[in-house]
Amino acid sequence: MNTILSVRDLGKGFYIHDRAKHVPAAEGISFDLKPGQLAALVGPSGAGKSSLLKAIYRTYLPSSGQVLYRTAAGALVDLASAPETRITDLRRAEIGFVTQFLHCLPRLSTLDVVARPLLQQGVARAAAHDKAARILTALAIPQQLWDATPATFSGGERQRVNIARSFTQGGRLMLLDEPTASLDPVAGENVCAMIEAAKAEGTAMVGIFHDMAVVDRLADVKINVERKAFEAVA
Amino acid sequence: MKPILDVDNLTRIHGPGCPACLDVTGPAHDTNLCRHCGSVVAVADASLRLHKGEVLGIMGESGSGKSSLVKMLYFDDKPTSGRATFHDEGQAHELFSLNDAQQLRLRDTRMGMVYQNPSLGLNFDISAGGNIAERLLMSDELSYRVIREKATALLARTEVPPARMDELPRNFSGGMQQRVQIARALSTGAPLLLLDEVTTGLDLSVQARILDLIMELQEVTGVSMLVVTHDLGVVRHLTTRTIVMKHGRIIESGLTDQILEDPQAAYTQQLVSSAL
Repeated sequence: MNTILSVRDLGKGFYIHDRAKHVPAAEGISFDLKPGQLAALVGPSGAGKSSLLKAIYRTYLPSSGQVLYRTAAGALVDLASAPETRITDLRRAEIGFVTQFLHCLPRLSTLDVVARPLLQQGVARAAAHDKAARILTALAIPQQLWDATPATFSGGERQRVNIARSFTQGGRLMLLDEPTASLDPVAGENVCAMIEAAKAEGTAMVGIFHDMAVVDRLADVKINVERKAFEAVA
Repeated sequence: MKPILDVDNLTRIHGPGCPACLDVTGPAHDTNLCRHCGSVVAVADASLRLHKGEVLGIMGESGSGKSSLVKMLYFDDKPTSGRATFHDEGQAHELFSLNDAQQLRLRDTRMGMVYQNPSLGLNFDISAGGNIAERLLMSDELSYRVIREKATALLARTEVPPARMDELPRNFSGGMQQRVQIARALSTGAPLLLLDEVTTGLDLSVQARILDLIMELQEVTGVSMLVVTHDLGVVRHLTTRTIVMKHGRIIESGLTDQILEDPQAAYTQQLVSSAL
């Protein structure tokens, strides 16, 4: 099988102008990923795992290295340096991100929030709602909540809505930032099952999980991320 | 993605201007006032590209030049130098080379503007429905019945009760006035919409509903938008790419989430970290 994602010597650091300080987050990360594989970023808290994930998605601008992604059309794109419109196109159609935090407008219903990425792709409303409903059911979000806005939900519920949205959108590459954190065991199991199903369908994933048992269960590749020493204040 | 608008080196100097104006103003000098001739450099060398169906944010504090930039694009003000090309219906219009009649024509039918202050975008002396009818008339729609139907549908879509379409907008709340402005701007099916601080000064709950409405209309119509705002929340919810301006200059641009979470310029870092 062909490689879908090849991360080469990826590094991310921040320059904080206010304090004239350079803060390194991660350096020299390399790995390859094939369709259906999951790479888990493992390492101590503060090692830069989330920063790496965001650098792959381009929420953070990578400081060094390449993020080579093979598109559905067969083109090779360096996500670290591709034009912004290329990135937005890929995010809409191929690359998803599950964050721990959900930003949504207070008026949208849960069903609309979850179906939204599909609507943006041009999927018909009924079909988008169908798929959203299936995923919400699989994640055991009670149907009474579907009309309400997630802005009023608890942290764990919001997180599941967020996961539901990402999996409704699907994609060829999904980036998961602690998708099972703060979930109860049943909900956590539902999410793991959904990740396994997506892998079986060929979705490649890069994920961070606080629970090593989940890593052992889901990961095909483990990437060790070391904590970086902070540089002295200049 | 195809471009709909290309802005090249747009500059607007208020005052006599002198050869040093651009060299002694800008973020590096922390001013937009030329110390040699006293001119104000509102916008300097601004270049950007807006793609079809894209929502681009222009962010910056008061006086950064963001409103001046869109005002020129809507012909409310003339640039000192620079170009803007509007790609529409297979033609490339050089906005500042067109004659007055051509400019008016584009402004009335192919572009829409929503101002922070509704009194700039609406005629307060005619009814809400009349405000929409006026724009439809300018786009050569002459049937009273069609105009009335379209106005009713547009107001319904922007959630203005049809029962109030014959009232004067001056009697409306700020949020409702913005809805009428949006309906008017959308009435001719223009492919380019300019939004200048449209939610500034409204209650938070009203702001959220207006943002919702804009987002929904954008998705349904695919209209391209330039969204001028100082509000990080507006940028986060509406836009995919963002430009940051200071002292008339574009100092940074990028994906909106990247600008908000990993800003590169010192000023943007300050701006983002000072959000409540």
